[in-house]
Amino acid sequence: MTDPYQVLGVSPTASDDEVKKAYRTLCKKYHPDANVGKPDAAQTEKKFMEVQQAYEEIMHRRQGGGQRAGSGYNGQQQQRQPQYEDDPFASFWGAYGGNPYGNAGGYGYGQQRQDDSIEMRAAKNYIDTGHYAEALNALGSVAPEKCNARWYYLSALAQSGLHNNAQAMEYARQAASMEPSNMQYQQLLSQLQGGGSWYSQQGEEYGRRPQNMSSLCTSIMLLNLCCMCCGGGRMMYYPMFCCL
Amino acid sequence: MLGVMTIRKDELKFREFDRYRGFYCGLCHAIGKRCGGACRMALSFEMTFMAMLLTSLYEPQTSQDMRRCAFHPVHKRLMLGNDAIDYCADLSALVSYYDLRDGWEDERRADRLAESALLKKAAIRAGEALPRQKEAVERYVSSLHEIERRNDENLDAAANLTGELLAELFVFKKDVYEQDLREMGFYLGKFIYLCDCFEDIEQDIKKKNYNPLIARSSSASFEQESRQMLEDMMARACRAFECLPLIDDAPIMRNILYSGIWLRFESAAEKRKAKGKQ
Repeated sequence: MTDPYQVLGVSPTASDDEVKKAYRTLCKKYHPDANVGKPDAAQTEKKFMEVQQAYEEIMHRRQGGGQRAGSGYNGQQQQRQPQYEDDPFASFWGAYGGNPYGNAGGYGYGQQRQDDSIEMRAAKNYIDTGHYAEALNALGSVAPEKCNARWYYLSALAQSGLHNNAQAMEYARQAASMEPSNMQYQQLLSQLQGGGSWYSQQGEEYGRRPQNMSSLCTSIMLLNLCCMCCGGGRMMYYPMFCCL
Repeated sequence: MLGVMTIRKDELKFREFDRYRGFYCGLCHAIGKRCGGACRMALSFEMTFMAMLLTSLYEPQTSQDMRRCAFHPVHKRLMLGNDAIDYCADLSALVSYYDLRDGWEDERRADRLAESALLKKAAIRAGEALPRQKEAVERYVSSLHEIERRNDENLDAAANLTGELLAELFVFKKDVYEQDLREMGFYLGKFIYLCDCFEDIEQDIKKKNYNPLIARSSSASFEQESRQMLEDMMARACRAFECLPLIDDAPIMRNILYSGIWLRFESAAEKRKAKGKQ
């Protein structure tokens, strides 16, 4: 596929505003209404589509790419992103030849999965295949006294899939506080809270005073933790310091 | 529920403020012209924001007139006018009508009935012109009743309805921007609903109204958790907003989205703190 920046005629380092301006100019030039009856109308229309596609690709990639792709609002259900996979370190262990800590059971989830009741196992399968409403149904049939941290964790995933981001955050918080040593729960929580700190920083430019510096700091720290844990490439060895 | 999407005035430039007021007065004028003078009570900051956003996105031919009005008889004011503003004027009448009628049917408040009678004609006309939006408002009203009736504990249940309504209203034309507009409208709507719940907790406890935050409000970290929840809503709305190719008036809209929209929440939080200390 052609480079979207080339289609718009801007450099990859151009600011968002420059991209938007370039897009607007080209849109006006190639808009079908502006080219009615011209001999190359079919060609300009094709160009118009290309420009729109290129713009969409650039902006969605810049605005958090993967994170947003999963949250597309219009009821469509999408496959979970790989970072939600059960073992966030799976690829890490794979790439670096085995887990130096023996097995993942050290973190507690290997064992827990064997403990999973039928309902929880069903819910997990539904979540993996993007059937969030069914997952919630399965989780709803678990007796209240059996709602452990994992129940809250799975509920958070299912709620998040249904665009219930407030409820998802509440459940993730609950899971993380019930089992503070579980990295997977901490990671989900910081992932769900991650967007807020980006937004708060933007707000300061427009006169919104930072609230609760301590909470902002924690969320940034947690965000860093999360980025390091699931970030790829060379930084991969880094999480080990902060996870311990 | 309306009136959350305010500007933070001290951070706006003078000409930005004039421009914002141009939309506000333009929308008021459009409502008066299209729906009748009495309908001007349907004017809201939310619809002003929507008018500005759609104008920026579609760049329709916009008229700029200096006019006096009944509320400002001395100095002439800038009033903007275009298709997008007319669309928002119709929506104002439509949404307010259903909202007021709901107030009458729910609480038997006679003032609501009287006000909704004033809007009826305009709302019917707007509903005929905008069937998709009318259906969305009707769906919203009936689904909200259902959720209030079963006292749903899920934080998002009622908020999603406001979200879905706004998502539908933000779609002015079905085109490539539809998905981003929907996403933005959805999370903005959720913010507006939940921010309103946060403000009304005391009142709703007294009146025994449905409010999903009441059950959570006794926790010590309630305010911080509410703020985090609302920040998440706005972060999602703003990501969609930043994807749209908006150039004109973008700084004014960012002033609202990143800052002004918090004014109501902050003042409610202050009040809660002051009350807690007493």
